[in-house]
Amino acid sequence: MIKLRNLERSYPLTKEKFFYVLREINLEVAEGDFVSIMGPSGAGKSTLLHILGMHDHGWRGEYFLGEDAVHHLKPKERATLRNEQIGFVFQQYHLLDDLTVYENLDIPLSYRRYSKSERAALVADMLDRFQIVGKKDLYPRQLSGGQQQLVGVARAIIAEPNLLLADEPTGNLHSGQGEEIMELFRKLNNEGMTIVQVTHSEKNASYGKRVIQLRDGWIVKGEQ
Amino acid sequence: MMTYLRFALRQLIKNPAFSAVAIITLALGIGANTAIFSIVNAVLLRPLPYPDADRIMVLNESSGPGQDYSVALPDYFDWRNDNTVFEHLAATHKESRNLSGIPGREPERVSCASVTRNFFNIIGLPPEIGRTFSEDEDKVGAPPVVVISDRLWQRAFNRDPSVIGRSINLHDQNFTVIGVMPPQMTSPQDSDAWFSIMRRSNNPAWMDRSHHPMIFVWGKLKAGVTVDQARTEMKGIAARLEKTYPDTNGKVYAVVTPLLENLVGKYRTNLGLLLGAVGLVLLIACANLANLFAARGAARAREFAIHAAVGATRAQIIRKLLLESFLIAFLGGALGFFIAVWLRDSLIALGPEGVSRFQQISFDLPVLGFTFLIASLTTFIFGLWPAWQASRADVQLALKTGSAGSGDPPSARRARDWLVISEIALTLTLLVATGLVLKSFSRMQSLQLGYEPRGLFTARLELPWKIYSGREKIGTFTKTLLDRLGALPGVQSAGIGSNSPLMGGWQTGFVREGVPTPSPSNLPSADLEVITGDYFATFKVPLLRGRTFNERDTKDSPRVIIIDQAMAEQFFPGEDPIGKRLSVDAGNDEEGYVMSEIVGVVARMRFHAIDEMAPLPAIYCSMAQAQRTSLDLFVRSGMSAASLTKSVRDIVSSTDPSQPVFDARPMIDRVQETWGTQRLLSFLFSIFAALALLLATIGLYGLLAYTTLKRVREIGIRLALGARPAQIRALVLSHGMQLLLIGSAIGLLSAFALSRALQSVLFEVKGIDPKIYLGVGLLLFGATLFASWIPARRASLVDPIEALRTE
Repeated sequence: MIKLRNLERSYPLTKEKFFYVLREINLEVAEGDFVSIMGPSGAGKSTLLHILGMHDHGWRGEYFLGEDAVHHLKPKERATLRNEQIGFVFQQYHLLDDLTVYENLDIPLSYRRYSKSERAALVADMLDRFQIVGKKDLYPRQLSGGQQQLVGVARAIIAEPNLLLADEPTGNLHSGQGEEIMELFRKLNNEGMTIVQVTHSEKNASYGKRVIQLRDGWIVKGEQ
Repeated sequence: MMTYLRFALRQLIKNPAFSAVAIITLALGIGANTAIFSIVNAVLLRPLPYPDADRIMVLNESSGPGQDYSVALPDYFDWRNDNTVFEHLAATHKESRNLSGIPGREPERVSCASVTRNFFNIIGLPPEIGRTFSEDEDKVGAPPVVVISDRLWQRAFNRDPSVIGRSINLHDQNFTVIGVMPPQMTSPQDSDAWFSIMRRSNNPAWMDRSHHPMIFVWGKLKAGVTVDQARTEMKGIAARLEKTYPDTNGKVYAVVTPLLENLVGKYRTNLGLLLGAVGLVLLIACANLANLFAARGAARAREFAIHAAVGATRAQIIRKLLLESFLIAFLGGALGFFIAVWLRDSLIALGPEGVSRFQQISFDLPVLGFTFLIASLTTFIFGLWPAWQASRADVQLALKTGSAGSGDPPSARRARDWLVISEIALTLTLLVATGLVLKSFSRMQSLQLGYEPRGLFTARLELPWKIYSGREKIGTFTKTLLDRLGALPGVQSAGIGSNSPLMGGWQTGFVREGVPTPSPSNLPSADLEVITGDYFATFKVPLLRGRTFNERDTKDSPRVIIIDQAMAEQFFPGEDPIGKRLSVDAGNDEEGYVMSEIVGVVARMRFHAIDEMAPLPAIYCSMAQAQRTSLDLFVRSGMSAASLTKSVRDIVSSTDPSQPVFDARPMIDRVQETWGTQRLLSFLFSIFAALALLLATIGLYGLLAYTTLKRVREIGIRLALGARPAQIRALVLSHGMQLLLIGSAIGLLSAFALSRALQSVLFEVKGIDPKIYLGVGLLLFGATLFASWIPARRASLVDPIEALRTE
């Protein structure tokens, strides 16, 4: 599903010198895979995830997502592809404070081509699936951290992506809540969703099928 | 207090850009308000320079609203004898005379008034030197004496005290100067010399009750009598006169107006509107500043939290912030005051001509007090709410979240939105009002005068009636003048009139031959103009039918008149008026109504300024058949006004050396003068509307830029969730457009209300004009788009990774 060839990301330090965040990344992620990216702080984990999520465009190399050569796509085409294929879960949940649970779930759909009735059906379905119907009119500040992340995951998958990217999804949760989220990820993966997560936790990584180790921008383990 | 002041000053210096923007915004608002208030103060509020001026009234007669006229002398006598409310009731009659024979001085025209001796009692000022009229000097056959003004004493006699007892020549009649009035005495209407009116009261025309010979009555109310009491009593007296003299006094009312109202009452509405408009600008400026201060307050939440954490009470925080606001308001007020002083000359130049109080705009104590008052008031308007908001921030949260602050609860956001909404509403109101005033001004400028004022030179002459006592003498003078003017190179034509357009006016009654004569109060009226020379050609007024006057129309030939198209259409519908006859009083002494044959019909000319009176049909008499000594000269020429003035003066002086030429200027100046008030309104409304639009645009931009800054995280999330830049731009733009929509809806309501208030000052413009509303809507839409676009674009360029990392 994902194929990266010699992917590099750097920031200029001077006119001629560059600081490399990622070096010669070659990586393949098959459909239905559940990959955990691990490594110390500053290893380039989040950068890699944002490149995969097409939030970062300043890289070199080749990136194939399914049949699409992302490196050849224009920003607009990348945005369309991202909206069709990818969902994102953040460590800080990043729910919109002024919107209710229902409205937060509706947000990704509003940026895609769904009719109003389709959106209502999908949100209702998601509320039901995650068992948060009773919380649909609450604001994020009225939820616990675990509940907020639950909404964050529901929001990430509501537009039915093939690929779920998660950046430290349990980083702000206590262990019980973290396990609940990881169980949910496992369930989603079992249903066929490809997942790539960044994590510091060996335990969370154990929910996945494969681990990639990054250090100083290089893949030191798990490269294919 | 001094410590707080020092802190406030430090804040001001620490943020020079913020301070400068706030001070300049306020200075513009306060400066504009001070400037307009200085006019209101000079024109409406400053008391008249006479003792007990509020008891001085001006009285005239009237047939109803908008149909005011002067007082018949016999009516004045009855009023004087019958009333119990006035201490004194005086008759006044304005005239002008030529002062000549002063060694070393050119003859000059002097503005004079004939008054009864008690006029000086009404004014209440003693003469500077000498005395006023004695009883014996104010009756028929009394010796000719004159009281002169301080200005004339200075101008013509260099303040020589020996002027008392000296004989001076006014209109070739010698008068003995008996007194000089102090400088503040200029009534009525800028007079420089006062004669006894009673010396001439045996004039038969004046003794006719149906004749209203431009006599206006002045009265001083007895102490304790109100204006309403005076009006009630005068109403009763007029009703009694109506009963006694039904032919002449039918539907004739007595109108009592306080002197100040009489002088400046017609400017009250306009100045009130201007004060309202400029007040709106100040409110918009305050709303802007409130937003600016609230945003800064939110940014300083951590600072206030620390103050609170170390023991500051809420009141102390509010006081500290209010002091900062007051410092800004004080500096803005000071700068605004200087802006207003700097604008003074422009304001005077824009004011209507001939209203001396407009020329006396001064920045005295009341104006200074007003500036200080609005500066203090604005402190509360723009300072209190942000101070209140800042003082209620959650200390724990503010300290935890660091300098970015948390003081941005939904209520604060809503309040900020409402401030901008109110700015939009006020701006829309002002823009609509400006649109209406500008359209009205444009209508006025494009008004068909019926003649061509461009290239037309005008000047005035007052022939002394003692010398120019017969029509032949006047005829000789005018013919010589016109012949010699016609011979000048560059002069195309010249004519003379006597009650010409925008230079006075004379109305007369008339009756068509064969129609029963109605009572004097029911006679139809017409403007009467007495003319000679190429009058119509000079004005470029086409002759539609018949002929103009010629040399065969003499004093002894049958009376002939020319009428205008309006009279032809109104009184001779479907007929040819040529050869028909009207009974007309041409104003010749002891002659009265004379049957006159219509020999020509000319196109209609507008004789009066728009705000003066409703247009009447016009009758033209030949100067050979109607005697006039007040002459208006018209010359159509390509020459400059300055060289024509010199030529006219030279020709007149060589014909009659004692004859001054005055008020020489192009006709277009007189036409433009009639637009004075509208021009002032248009100019100032345009400036205020532009200022309002600028402030509202800045306010909207400020709000959206601030909101975007506060929403960076949200925008980052939206982008991460799949929003496209265009959708983010739409998010910010739609916020701006929402504010525009709500503001416009409210603004429309207030604009409707203001349009109704404006109706009385508009000319041929309806209060609700769809084109203006549409234009204003488009302008505001453009301004909103402009103000929203930069924050919207900036929002769409937010880097989601950066935005989410800053969390």
